[in-house]
Amino acid sequence: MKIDSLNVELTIRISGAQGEGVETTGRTLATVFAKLGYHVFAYRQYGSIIKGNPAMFYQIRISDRKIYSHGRWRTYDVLIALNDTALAQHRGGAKYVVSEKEIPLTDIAAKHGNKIMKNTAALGALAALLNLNPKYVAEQLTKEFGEGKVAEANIAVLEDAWRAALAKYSPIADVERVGEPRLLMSGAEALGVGAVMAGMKFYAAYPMTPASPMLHWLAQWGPKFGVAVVQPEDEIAAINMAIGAAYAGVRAATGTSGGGFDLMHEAFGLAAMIETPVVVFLAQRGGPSTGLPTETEQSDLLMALSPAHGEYPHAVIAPRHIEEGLYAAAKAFNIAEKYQVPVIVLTDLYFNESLNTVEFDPGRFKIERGELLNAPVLWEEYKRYKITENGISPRAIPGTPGGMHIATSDEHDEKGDVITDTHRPEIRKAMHRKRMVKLEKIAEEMDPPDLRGGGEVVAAAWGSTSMPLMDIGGNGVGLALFRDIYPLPDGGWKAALNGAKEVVVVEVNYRGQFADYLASKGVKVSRKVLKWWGEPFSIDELAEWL
Amino acid sequence: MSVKITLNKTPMDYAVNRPPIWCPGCGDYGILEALKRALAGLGIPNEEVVVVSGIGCSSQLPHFLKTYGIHGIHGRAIPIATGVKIANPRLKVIVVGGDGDGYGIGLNHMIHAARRNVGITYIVSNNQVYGLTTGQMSPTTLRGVKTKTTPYGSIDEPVNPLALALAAGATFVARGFSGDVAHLTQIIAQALSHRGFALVDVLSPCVTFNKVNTYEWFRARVYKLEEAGHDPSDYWQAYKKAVEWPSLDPNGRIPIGVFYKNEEKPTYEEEIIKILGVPPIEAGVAVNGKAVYGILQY
Repeated sequence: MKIDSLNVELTIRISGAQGEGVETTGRTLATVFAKLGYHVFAYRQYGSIIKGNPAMFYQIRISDRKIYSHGRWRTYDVLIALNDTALAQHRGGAKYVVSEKEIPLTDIAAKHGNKIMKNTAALGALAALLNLNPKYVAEQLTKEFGEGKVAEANIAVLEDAWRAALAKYSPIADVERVGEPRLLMSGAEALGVGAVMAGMKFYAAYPMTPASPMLHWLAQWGPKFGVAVVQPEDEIAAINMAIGAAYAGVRAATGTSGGGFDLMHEAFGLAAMIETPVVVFLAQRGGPSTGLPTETEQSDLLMALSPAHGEYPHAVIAPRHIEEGLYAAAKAFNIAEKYQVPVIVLTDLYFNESLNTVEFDPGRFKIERGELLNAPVLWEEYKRYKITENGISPRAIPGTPGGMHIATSDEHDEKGDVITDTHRPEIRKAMHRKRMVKLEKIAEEMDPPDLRGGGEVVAAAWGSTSMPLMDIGGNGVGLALFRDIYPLPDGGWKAALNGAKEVVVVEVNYRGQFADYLASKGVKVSRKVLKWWGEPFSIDELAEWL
Repeated sequence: MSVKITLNKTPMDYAVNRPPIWCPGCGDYGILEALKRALAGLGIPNEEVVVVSGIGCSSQLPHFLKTYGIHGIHGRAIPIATGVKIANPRLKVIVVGGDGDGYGIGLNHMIHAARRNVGITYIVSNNQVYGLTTGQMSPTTLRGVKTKTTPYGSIDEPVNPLALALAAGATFVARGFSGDVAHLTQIIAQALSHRGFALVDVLSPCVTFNKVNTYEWFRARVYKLEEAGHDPSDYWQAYKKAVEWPSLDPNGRIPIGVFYKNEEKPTYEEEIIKILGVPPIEAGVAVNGKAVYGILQY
C-alpha cells in the first residue's frame, strides 16, 4: 500500500445531516476501497430521525492488514464535512479537511442539475487529495445508480470536483489497487449469510433497529435459497411462528433488539420446554425501554443469560467480529438442533450496522441436525421425550407415521402427556433433570475464550468489544475474548486468567455485567472499563484506559 | 395391476387412551367428538394433522387426539400454527382454544391470520367465561352478566368474533353449537376442506362457571342459516347475520351454520410458494455455497 506519511492506515470521517447522503457516500467509498483490495471497516453514528441531525458521521478505516474496528475516535486523517455544523463539530480531530471552504461543492453539484449531489462532489475532491483515480469511484456510482442520466450527472460532478481539487490540494497519499477485490459486508449481512448457509428455511421478524438490516437482507436474498421470510404483527408472533416452523421440521429463526426480545421471553421458555430448536438473533442497542434506538450497547447480557421464567437449557453465542458472524450463526443452528434448545446469537448495533471486509469460506459450514427421525415409528412405542443419558430424545416431525405426539408447555411425561392434573414429583424430577442435563453437554461444545498475547494485564471482553481490542492486541496487553458465553466451557482458561496480574473487563454497559458473570465463575476481576453512552470502544481510548 | 386397499377411518382412529379431564357436561366434549368425526369423514391420515392450542380448558383438547400438536402458551396458538403451515403446507393444521385465549390475549393474531388467509382451521370453544382460572369475565361475556371479576355485572361490550373475522378478510366464517354435534361435525368438515383461513366459533356452555348461557339458553335461541335460505357467498348478507347476535340484540335469536365462504382468494402459503418455488420443508438444508458467494459480489 502506498499511502505516504500515513504508514499503513487511513481514516476518513464523513459528516453531514441525515438525508444529505452521508451514508450512501460512506458506503460507496468503503466499497471502492474494498474493490481495490484494501481491508476496510466502516462505522456509522446517527440519530433516530430520517432527515435532520446536522452532524451524523460515517467513519471509514482502510488498511493493508486485516482490521476489525473503526479504529480511533478522537482523531482521523481526513474529514469530509457536508455542512457548517458538521465542519465545526468534527474539524478539530482532522489532519485534512474537504469542505465547502476549500472546494465549491454545492456550486459544482448545482451546475450539473441538483445541489443534492454535493456529496458526490466531495468524493471527487477526496479522490484528488488521495491521488485516487476517480474512475474507480465513477465505476461504483454507475453500479449503484445504474446506467443513465442520474449516474452521468453524478460522474460529471465527481470529475469537475476532482479537477477543481487537483489545483487546490497536494496529494497526501497514492491509492492504487493492491489486490483482488474483497467482500465487504455488515454484521447483519454476515448473520444473514451464515443463516442461509446453515440451511435456515424460515425467518420471521418484526422491524426494530438494529435487527432490521438482517431482515431486509433476508427478505431480498433468502427466497433465492428457499427461505420463507415473514414480517408478522409483533415479536410475540415472530418467535411463535419460528417455533411452529421448527416443530414442522425446518431450521427457523427470529431476530429483534432488546425491547422486542422482552416480548419473546414467554415463547423462549416454551421452545425450551417442548424441546424445539429455534434461533434468536438478538441485536442490542442502548436501553432500557426505547433507550438509545440508534446507538450501541452491550447491556442485554443478563437478559440473554436468563430470558424466560423458570429454569431451562439454552445457549448464548456472541460473535467477536463481523467475519465470525458468518460462522457463529451456523454454530447456533447446530447447537439448537443437536440439543433441541433455543439459542441466542447476541450482537449489537456496532456489530450489525458496521461494514468490514471478510473472508467467506463456504467449505467451513457443516450442518448437524441431531437426532431427527426420518423413518416411520411405532406409535405405541415412540416417546418424544424419552429420557436418555444426554437428555436428547429422537425428534419426529409432523408427517412421520407413528410419531404423533403433543408438545406441551405443561410439565409432561416421556410420551408428552400432561402430568399437571395431579402432583407427580417423580415425573417432574426426571423430566426437569432430563432437560437441564443438556446444559452440561452443550458446555462441552462451547469454545473457550480466545487468549492472545502475554502481558501482566489481560483485557477480557465479549462479543463486539473484541473488535477494537483485536486491533490493539499485542501491545503488552493480553486478551481474553469470549464468543461462547453460555454455558461457559470448562478448561484451563480460568487458571490462565487468574494467573495474570490484572484482569480488566471491558464492555459497553454501566454495571459491568460480564465482569460480574465472570466473577461468579471464579475469575478474579481487578477492574472494569465501561462505557455506556452510545459509543463502541475505540483503540485510542483503550490504549489510554488499559 | 396393483390393488390399493383403503380402510375407512372412524372417529376412534383419532382417539387416545386418555379420557378428557373436562367437567361432566362440558361443551368441549361435543367439539372433540365433532372434530374426530370430521377428520374421519375426510379420511385425513393421523400423521398429517397438527392441532395447536393455547392455554385454557379447551386448549387441553390436542391431548385427547392421536395426532401431532403443540399445546403452547396463552393466546399464541395461531402464530405457532402459521409457522407450521408455512413450513409444510401439506399438513392439515387446526387451532383450538377458548374465547379468552383467542378473543382476549391473542385476538390480534386472529385478525392477522385472517387477513393473510393462512390455511388453518380455527375452532373456538366460546363459553363466555374463563373456566380454568375459575370463572372470571371473558371477552364474550354479555353485558350485565355477573362473574367473579364483575360482581356488579359486566360493563364491557362483548367482542363479536364473526363480524371481526369478516372485517379482517377471513374467507370462511361459521358458528356451531356443541349441543348439536351432527351439525357441528358438518361445519368443521367444511372448514377443514376450505383452503384458506377458517373460523368456527362454537357456542360451548361452561356448566360450572356460566349459569347464564346454558344449553337450554342456547337451544331456545339458535336457528340454522342453511334452513333460513342464507347464501354464504354473499359477504354483506353474512355481515348482517354476524351482527344479529350479540351486537344488535344480546337476547335475540342466534344464527348457526356457515356465514361466509370464499374459495377464490389465494392462501398465504400458496403466495410464499410462488416466491420460493417449493415449500420450505421440501427445500432441504443443503445450500450451494457458490451461489451464495455469487450474490455477495458487488
